[in-house]
Amino acid sequence: MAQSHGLERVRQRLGGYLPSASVGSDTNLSWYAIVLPKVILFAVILLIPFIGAFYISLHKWAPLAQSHPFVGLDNYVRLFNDPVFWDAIINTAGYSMALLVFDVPIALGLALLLNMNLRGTKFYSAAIFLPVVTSWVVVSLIWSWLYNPEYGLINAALGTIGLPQLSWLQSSSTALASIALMSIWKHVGFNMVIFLAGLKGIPDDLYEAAIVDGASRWQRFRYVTLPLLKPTSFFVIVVTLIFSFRVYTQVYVMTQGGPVRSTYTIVYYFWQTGFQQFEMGYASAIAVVLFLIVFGLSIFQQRTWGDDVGY
Amino acid sequence: MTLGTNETEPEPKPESEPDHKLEFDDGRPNIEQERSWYDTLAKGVAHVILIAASAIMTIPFIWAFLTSLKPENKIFTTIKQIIPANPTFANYVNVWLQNPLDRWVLNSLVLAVGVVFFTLVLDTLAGYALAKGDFRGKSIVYTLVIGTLVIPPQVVLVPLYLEMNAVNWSNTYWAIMVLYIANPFGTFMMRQFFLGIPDSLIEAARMDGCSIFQIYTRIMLPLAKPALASLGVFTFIFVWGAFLWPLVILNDSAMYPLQVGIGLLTGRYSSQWGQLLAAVILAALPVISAYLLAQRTFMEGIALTGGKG
Repeated sequence: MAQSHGLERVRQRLGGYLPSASVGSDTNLSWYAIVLPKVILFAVILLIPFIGAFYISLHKWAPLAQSHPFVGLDNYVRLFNDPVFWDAIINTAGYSMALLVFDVPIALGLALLLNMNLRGTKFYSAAIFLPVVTSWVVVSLIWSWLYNPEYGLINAALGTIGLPQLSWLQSSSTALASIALMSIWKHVGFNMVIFLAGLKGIPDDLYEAAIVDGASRWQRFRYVTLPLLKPTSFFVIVVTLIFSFRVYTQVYVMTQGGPVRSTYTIVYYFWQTGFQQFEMGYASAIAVVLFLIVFGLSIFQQRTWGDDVGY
Repeated sequence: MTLGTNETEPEPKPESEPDHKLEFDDGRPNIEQERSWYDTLAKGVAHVILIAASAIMTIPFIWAFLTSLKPENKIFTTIKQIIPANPTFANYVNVWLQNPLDRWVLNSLVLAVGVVFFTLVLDTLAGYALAKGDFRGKSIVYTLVIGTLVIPPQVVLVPLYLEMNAVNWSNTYWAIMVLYIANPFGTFMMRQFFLGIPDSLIEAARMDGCSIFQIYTRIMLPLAKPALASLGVFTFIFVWGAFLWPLVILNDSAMYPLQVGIGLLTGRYSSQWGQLLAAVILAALPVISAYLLAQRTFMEGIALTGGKG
């Protein structure tokens, strides 16, 4: 670049006098003016409410009550003895595991196929990514129609090829799995694109060298692709886990937690206690536990990933 | 689109093909030199799988659209007949007339455009300061960004709800927008992007007498156009799909964004699927068309944020 060339000459004349890491050490105040609006927002909208959540969780807190008595850890004790909360934890964990076990490998498989650079790759990736850009409310409504036991397209298709038909969202044994299945359909394109970005980042000469060494297709995948894809895989796994723990909208739209609590999730239960029953202290305790779970997962991410963690 | 044209190469190659063409040329050396029956078979199988996957992904949308074109009283009797015999837009007209859909669309637009605007301004400024700035407390601010990234937004909803009530902001656009504008993701993304801009450029501008703010407007922003486009599009989709926070903070149905509005229609419309699906298609259309128009930006944005790993 011409500009940096000229600067190099200036730098030589000044004898390396220029600071290299940053600009404008003399105008500190300007930096504060630039960064402060966002910092104030962080503080007022995220940080103070975050601390507030801990505080409220130690109280019996109804929004319109005159006083909010301090109850210590009572909300947490109640939480641990609350079968509905444990149902919610188990359901959320099950949902997350389903996404990990199916979503991630399918996304990797699709990315590998798209990386073959076949004709029509643009069309394929556009189609597979389509559900990602559509909102959860929209896909939840479309799928609750697809899942309809009498009129839905899925049972009609199963019936045509002679397979048994299911009651999907109406049965407590299949409702959560049905929501997970739809979520995989909605989300798989996102992970696929991240995997694809990872695959494109593997230098060609590594494959060329492997071919020269006589490595078979499988060996190239096993000894070049997989190891170099490790950071991307960790990213995909952890982000999928973190976001699947926040599952809410699908449940609200498709099943309202039912049938018989089989689709209660942590965030759905949080919303119900906080904004339906207005037990905000108890809801905050649920939120704090959710935070601890997600925080634990993030620590795991940092451990496995080292210092320069993306997100 | 990014996926094909290997955007990770440092030097951009001249663009000859318009985006929407389906031809596919990667521009990188073809390392699969073996041309054998095995190769042909593998490609055939890959095509079959990808066509099946594309079908699975698109059929629900196509089917919902086709069903929404059937007259309400014919939907259940013609369930086996996928393509409507006499397509009609009656469901669209009815659902629009019976609900304040225009108001909901307007609400969603105001929210999305507002959040995108403030996100782009505040996140580029803060990201610039964090990447190139030199001020006391910089590492504290950066820790704040990373720390708030980890907080699930649901955790702050109860206190934020009380906070918004305390300042009399419930039922306002502002109350909905602030949570999304405060999102640290964009700050982090812009910081990562600005870190990659060589210091020498900035120093040269400083030699020419540019202030910090002039460097921002003349160097950082113009260079950040692709990152800004991705962040903007992402934020738009994110806010357009927002559900829980607006549901919590609003108590006046005239203030609902579109997603909340149609989400709450389900109970009332349990037997009027034609109208419900019409509303669903209307809610999906803006993002789907934005996506089809800006596919390249989308994929770049994900590669930019995810690929950074």
